[in-house]
This record gives sequence, C-alpha cells and structure tokens, in this order.
Amino acid sequence: MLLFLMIAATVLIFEPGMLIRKAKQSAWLADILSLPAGFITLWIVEKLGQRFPGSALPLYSEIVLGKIVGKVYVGIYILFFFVVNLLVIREAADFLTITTLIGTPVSILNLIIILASGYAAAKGIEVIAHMGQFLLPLFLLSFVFIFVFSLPRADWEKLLPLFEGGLQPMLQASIAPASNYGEIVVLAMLLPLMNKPQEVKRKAVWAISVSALFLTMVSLLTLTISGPYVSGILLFPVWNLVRMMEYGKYLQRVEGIVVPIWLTVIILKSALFYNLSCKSTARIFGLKSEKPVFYLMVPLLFLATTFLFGNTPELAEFQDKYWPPLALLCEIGLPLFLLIIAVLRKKKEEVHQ
Amino acid sequence: MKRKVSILTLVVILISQCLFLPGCWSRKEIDDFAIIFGSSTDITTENGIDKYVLSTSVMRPPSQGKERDQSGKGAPSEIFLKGKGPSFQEALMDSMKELPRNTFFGQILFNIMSERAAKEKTSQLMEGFLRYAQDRPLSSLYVTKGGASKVLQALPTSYSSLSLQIKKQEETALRAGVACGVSLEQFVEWLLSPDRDAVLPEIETVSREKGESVPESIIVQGFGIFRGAKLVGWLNQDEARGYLLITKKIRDGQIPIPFTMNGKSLVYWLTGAKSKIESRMTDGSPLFKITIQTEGTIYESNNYDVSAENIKSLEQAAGEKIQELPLKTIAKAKEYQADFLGCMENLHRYHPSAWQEIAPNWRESFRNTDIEVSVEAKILSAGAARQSLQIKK
Repeated sequence: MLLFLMIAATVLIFEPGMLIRKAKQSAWLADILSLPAGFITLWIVEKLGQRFPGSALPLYSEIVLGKIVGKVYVGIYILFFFVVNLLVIREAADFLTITTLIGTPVSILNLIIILASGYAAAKGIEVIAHMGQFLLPLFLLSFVFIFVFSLPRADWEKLLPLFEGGLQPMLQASIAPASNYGEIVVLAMLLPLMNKPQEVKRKAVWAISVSALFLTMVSLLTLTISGPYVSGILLFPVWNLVRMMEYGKYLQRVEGIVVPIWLTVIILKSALFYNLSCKSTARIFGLKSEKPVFYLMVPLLFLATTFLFGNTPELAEFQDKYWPPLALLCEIGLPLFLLIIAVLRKKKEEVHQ
Repeated sequence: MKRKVSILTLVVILISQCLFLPGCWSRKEIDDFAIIFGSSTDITTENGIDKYVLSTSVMRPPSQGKERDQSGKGAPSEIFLKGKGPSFQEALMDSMKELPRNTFFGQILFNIMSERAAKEKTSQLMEGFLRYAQDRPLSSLYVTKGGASKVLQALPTSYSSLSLQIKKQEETALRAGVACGVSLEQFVEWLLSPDRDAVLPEIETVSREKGESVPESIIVQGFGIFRGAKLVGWLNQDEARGYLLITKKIRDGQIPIPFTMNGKSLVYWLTGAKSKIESRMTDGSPLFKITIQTEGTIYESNNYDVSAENIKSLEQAAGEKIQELPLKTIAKAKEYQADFLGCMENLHRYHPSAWQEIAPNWRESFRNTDIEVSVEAKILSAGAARQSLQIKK
C-alpha cells in the first residue's frame, strides 16, 4: 500500500507530459513497456533479501563488498534517496508556484514540505506506514472522481494511429516511468522491517501493477480528452485535465479539492525517502542516535531543493534527460552487481548471525 | 509532561496555520479582484509599430452596481475597459490603469480575436493563454470581422450580462445549426495537429438601425477558417451548417431546411444528425466518403399531403437538399486548402502508412481529393395532423 502510494504519488505531476511529448498517441503503451523495470528490480531485491534475511541493504552490502567498499556503496544509495527526495519536493513546490500559489517563493514551499515530511520521517517508518493507510482511500477517491467525471469527455479515436513513429520513441519515453517503478528498490531497506516478509513479494507485485494501471489510465485520459498535441506542450497535463472537469455551474474548479490530496501523498513519499536516507547515514557512520541526522537533513535538503535548480525549465530538463538513466543505474544496475558479487563470493547470512 | 507539550505545540501550529489561509506571498483577497469575464484583442499599427488593443469585460463590483441602481439607472453588470500596448500584457495593464484592482482570469468565459489579430497573432496569443495558468482551458474563443472591441460594447439582450449571453448563445447556435463553441484547448489541439485545420465561431454585432454608435446586440453565426495559424476565410450560414453536419452530432436541433416537391415548397425541420467519415487510398490518392444521417419532422408542408406513400420521395428530396450544404462547405475547404473537416485526420488515424505518403504536401492532395457525401434524411413524422387542410372553395 505504502509502496503503491510511493510510486503513484509523483507520476501525476510531470510524467504524463514528458511521456506524451515523446511518444504522442502511444504514450500509454510506453507506460506498460516500462513495467518490466519494476519487476526486475523487485526480483533482484527479493533474491538479496532471501540471501540475507533480517538485515537491510547497509548491513549486507558490507558483508558482500567488505567494509570500505560497502560503505561507499551505501553512500551511493544515500545520495540516491536524497536526490529522489529533493526532486519530489522541488517538483511539488514548482507545481504549486506555477499553478495555484503564484508569487510564493519556491524556497518557502520547499521549507514547508521539508518540515512536514521531516516530522513524519523522524517518527519512524511505522508512522509513515499508518499515514499511508489513512491517505490511500483519499487518494483513490480523488482518482475515482477524476475518472468518473472525465470519461464522458473522452474521445477514444484520438489514440489512433497506434505505434506511429515506431517503437523507438516509445522505448525512449518509457525510461522515465521505468525509473519510477524502479523506486521499489526501497524494499531493500524495508524488507527486514516487515511483519510478514513472505507476503512482501506478492504485495510488491500488486503495488507495481496497480500503479502502472493508474499511470496508464491517467495517460489514456489526458490523451483522449486533451489530445496528444496539447498535452505534449503543457507542463502539467493532468492538472489541466482536472481543470477541464466542468459541468455547468455545478461542478467546477475541482482542482482545489484534488490538488491538496496529491500534496499530502507527495509529503508521504518525501517522508519515506527522508527516513531512509537518514537511517542509512546513521548506519554507515555508526551513530548511536539517528536524531542529529534528521536535524542536519533539514538545512541540507532545503539548500539542495532551493539552489540546485534555478528554475522550472532546468528541473524539467534534468528530470527528462539526466535523471532516469542515473536512477535506473541505482535501481537495477547496482543491486544486480551486488547480487552477482554475493553469488560469486558465496556470501550468505548465517541464521544465527 | 512531554506528551502535553507536544500536543500543545501541535495545536499552536495548527491554529497559526489559519493565519495563512489566504496565502502568505500570494495572498488573494476577493475584494481586490477585477474578475474578467471576457476579453477581445485587436491589432492596430501606429507609426509603423504593431500594437495590441485589448478590451476586457470586468465584473462590476456589487456595491458599485447598487449605487447606480438607486439613482434610477439600471447599470450593466459589467465594466468595459480598453488598453493599448506593444505587447499583450502591456495592453492588459494599460486597460487596468483606471481600476484599482488585481486582474483575475480564473473566471474567464471567452476571448475574441479581431480579424487582424487572428491573421497575424493567433499563435502568440494562444501560447500566452496556455502559459498563463489562471486561464481556463474550456473558455471559448471567437473571431469577428473587423475590430473586436465593439463586440464587448454591445448591450446584453434578455440576460443580465453580455458574457452570460455569449456563453448561452453558443449553445443555441449549435441547435440552430449556425455555429458551435470551440474551447481554447480544442483550438490549440487543432492548431498543433499535423493533419487538421482549425475553425472558430464568428461573433458579430447587430444594430437595429444603421449608424448607431453603440451596437444593439450580438449574434454568434458562421465560422472563421484557419490555415495553420492564420485566418484565411469565412463560412457563411449554409457552409457553417454543412460543417456542423459533417463534424458534429446534433441533438435537439432546430434547423429549418426548405426544399421543393412537385412544385410545392416544404420545410424539413431537422432535429438530429450524426455523421461518419470513411477514408481509403486508391492509386496513391485519398478518397473520402461522408455519410450523414438526419432525423426531422415536417410541420410546414404548404398544404402538401404527407402520406405513407410519398414519404420516401419526400425523404429523398429533403436529403438532396441537405446534401448541398456539406458540398458547399467542402468546396470552400478545398478553395482555401484548409482541411477543417477532419478528413485527413481520419486518414491519418485509420491509414497511417497512406498518410505518411502524402504528408509532405497533404494540403495539395486534399484539394485534389474526391469527397463523396451521402445523406440519409429521415422524416419521423409530419406533426400532429394526419392530413393537410383541404378547405372548400
């Protein structure tokens, strides 16, 4: 559930636009194409988990790779969590300043989101999970709402012709959602914390599939309602889609209800990554208490979110071009590398260790 | 103790949030808004420089309206403002000079482009509307012959405000088969698509007496044709009907179509229509077939007896008459080489490989293509009378 929210939360804002710009009418197929990335990541993480039951990534990476290389390896992951987190926050803040809170400095929005998510993160993973339980129905409801009221406007002929321009643009477009599904890699950190580890695999498969279904549905709706050409130009096509839900004088401006729900889910996702990056940091430095890291993370994240990207076009370009391959490296490349080394060196956690 | 403190902190934080409900930086007070219902854009040339002339129709603040009412004059519920500037935003701010309020586009219902603006600045204006996040994607767009600011100066008839009337007129225009609304979002989609041209409904002012300074009212009728991002021509009433018959599904229609049968003129009251475009490729050139099915009634039969025997021939005669409308539209479309009918779009969707062949000069091949139109007109009834009046001599 938490995983589903985590994957589905951010795809809403920028992703459909990116997809549609590249793959035009076939954008919704690109979503499905990118699905294997999630499953591959899940499989690798699962195998690692089976080898080292009861311990998380920072622990077994040191067992497999040795102390120093292991620490560097975890360091990369801390950076990964950190960057995902800062992208999530910055995305949300930019979205807000452009659409609803015109004129509010991004830095302030960043700070507010960081404080909220940091508070949740410091309370621990269990609190975040409960938060997910609370938010999931709201999130789903907001979507059912969008689907129900948008469907009558849909013109399915706009999806034709399929596969125009061949497979290549679709594959190119599918990298971005692939990196999104690959975020399931956080399971490597969460596995030992689960109550019922044997059920995790089933649940994770479910989470990836359902969020893929969601993204596909959202892409389909934006394509059939706004059309592939306008959606490709807009920065936030889904927001535009919600704004187009107008039925006379009775149903208007639904975005005012839907956007806050999205925001809470984004804060949830940010809290999760916040928590993970702080925990791993504390682990590799062998700190007794995690508290200082949580405090330190606030100014760090604030500076990073505010100053790394000067403006929205820069952010969009980074997300579009540079981030997906890097993310996929962390999500599939590095865990696979770890698994191969573990198999070669025949490292396995003893049951009593 | 610690728990109490944390709960207290939480409560304080929550309460303090209320202070910021209207927003901190982007604080908005509804009293400060100039709520814009509609705008119209003109282009003029002054000393060799193109300038935007922007007119806006702004909601009259309630208090101001009341004061006028007490003085005995019914004030219109909208204020007309006009500004000029070398760019759209400068023109907008210029028009707002006399109004000490912030512009608010969140309630905008329509934008009107003058003939010249539609010819020269369509793509610039549309991009501006899309970029500005407050604009509603479903606001309507219109073009008008000549200057656009006169439209906003017209007085509303049967509605309290002109904007409401325009919005309503868009609906009745579709039923009457003279025009239909086109939203900003739809228009931009047409402009961007590689296979279809755009149209916008035409809005005109009408005066009861010639030479009046303030026009009496407005009508929505006909279409402006765009080729690419440039207004190239107009559809008159018949051609507009043809366009609607080809592209739209008409329900609750009120479209009278006169036709003759055995020397007597009858009127086919068209109430519903739907259409289908089929495309195929023969010998490297596309071929289109448009099938239109209509439903209607005959009320005005000019004493012609409508019976079970002759209803088929009546249907055929009406169908032939209806067929003329789309044919006129197609001739116009070919004349301007602008495929606003969606024929090439259909080819692109259902025969993508054929489209690839002709894509580089699709306008050329649209002009030379054959478009077949067949109309099946159905007469559902001849009203509540069983036979026509036969009055003694």
